[in-house]
Amino acid sequence: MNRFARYLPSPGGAASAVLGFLILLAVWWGTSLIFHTRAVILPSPPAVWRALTEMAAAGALGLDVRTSLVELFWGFLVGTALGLATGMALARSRGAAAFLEPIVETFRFILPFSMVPLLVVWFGTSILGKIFVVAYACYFVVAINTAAAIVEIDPLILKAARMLGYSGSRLLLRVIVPAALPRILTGLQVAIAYAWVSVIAAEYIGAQAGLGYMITNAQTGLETDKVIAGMVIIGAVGLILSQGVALLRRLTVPYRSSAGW
Amino acid sequence: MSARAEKRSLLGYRLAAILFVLGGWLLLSWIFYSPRLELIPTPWRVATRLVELAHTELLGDILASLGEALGGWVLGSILGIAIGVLIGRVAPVRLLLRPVIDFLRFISPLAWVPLAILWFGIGYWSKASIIVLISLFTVVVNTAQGVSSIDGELVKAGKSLHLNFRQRLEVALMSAMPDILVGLRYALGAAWGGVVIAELVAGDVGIGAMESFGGQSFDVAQIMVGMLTLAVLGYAANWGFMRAQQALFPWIVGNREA
Repeated sequence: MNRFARYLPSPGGAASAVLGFLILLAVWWGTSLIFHTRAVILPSPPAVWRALTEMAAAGALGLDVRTSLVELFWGFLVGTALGLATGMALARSRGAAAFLEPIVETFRFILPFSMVPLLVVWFGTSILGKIFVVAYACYFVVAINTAAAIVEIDPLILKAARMLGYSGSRLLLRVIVPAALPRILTGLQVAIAYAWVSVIAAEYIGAQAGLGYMITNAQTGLETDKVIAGMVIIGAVGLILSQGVALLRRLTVPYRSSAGW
Repeated sequence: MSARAEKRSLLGYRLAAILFVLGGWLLLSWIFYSPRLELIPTPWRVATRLVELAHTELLGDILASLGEALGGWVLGSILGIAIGVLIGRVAPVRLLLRPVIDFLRFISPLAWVPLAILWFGIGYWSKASIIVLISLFTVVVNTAQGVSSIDGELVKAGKSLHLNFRQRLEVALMSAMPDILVGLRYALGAAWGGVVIAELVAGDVGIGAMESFGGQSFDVAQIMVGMLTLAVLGYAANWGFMRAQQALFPWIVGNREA
């Protein structure tokens, strides 16, 4: 077992994912060469690459990626800002917790994806509906993790800080935030993944551009090569985003690392 | 303040929360009231639509969605546990499959919806296969984690007792069970989101399809009935899972957090 173990990239990381991509590529290429699968069912890797470069050259791909990223940015920003505020209120004030808890616990079960048709009726194909879905998908995981992060802080640390004269905003910024940051970042890591999924899912219906729109549109036209090309781009962006948050984590909380699986 | 008085004042906050949500809903539905297009129907309008739908199609849609979610979840979980045990215990399989799963996990299962439609049409499997993927990825990771972190003493004890393959598998599965159950429950929760998105895109039956038809006819009350039904289903599934876990594995405590 140990003989193999040292060749393995650390699980859950980017290197492992790239290796997995190469393995999958080999299997996929082999399947399409040996079985001569029809392009509608499984196009060969070169065909997908051609579709990708054609879309990129026409500028359509750039537009789709940009649209999706803009939706992601605003949705994530709004969702995490509200989630952080709610989480702090839940943890720091009993009255606010008693007021917010039933609301959060109820709306947590209303799925963000189930409101997509509603948002299409309300906002049409505009970006507002997508921002709403993405923000809603991020909000709960950020709020719950932030609240837990603050509640879990060792009360001795807080007592010591108070005794040393910290209070108000100084207590918040110098003691509470650094102590709670690892768990808060865990919430953000999950939230960015949720957000990216939600962008794609929200674009399936009632959109005019974006990667989710692009792959459903290609599916309607039986252009499987474009569908797979779009999925690869979605995976690559997801990988970059999650690496970005992981990097943020290493920079801000070098004192606590996250383990793979 | 006495504990009882504090409890009463917290109850007041809770009541205020309920009134706030209902009041906000009513207020919005009056502000955006229009006789032609109901953008935000009142709570009782949604309630009457629920009763109407309950008499016609709702039950069939619930059963369709339930069948997709549970069928995909069961199949994906069985595959996930099997592959997870292999990844956790068999080095060559880990070498080959763990990177593949690491890569595929970055392509969200929901991004497979168009491909699933191309492969399976718009019938049962285009939706169930998405749930299979959702459950598979979650359960594989949790199972592998649980199986590879078995207490070394247990493995040694098993060796000295000359356990056969089945018994060793049982030891591995049971000591990984807390982790596996977390994965199973998470997957069950995520399954509903997968069902609704798949049905919105490839809808013939199911709650997502019902919402989609509601959207096409600007019947917001019908969409809201779908949202509420899914919330109740998700809640009930989580509750049922917890009850089953307590009944089947009463020795597992501490992974009951949300």
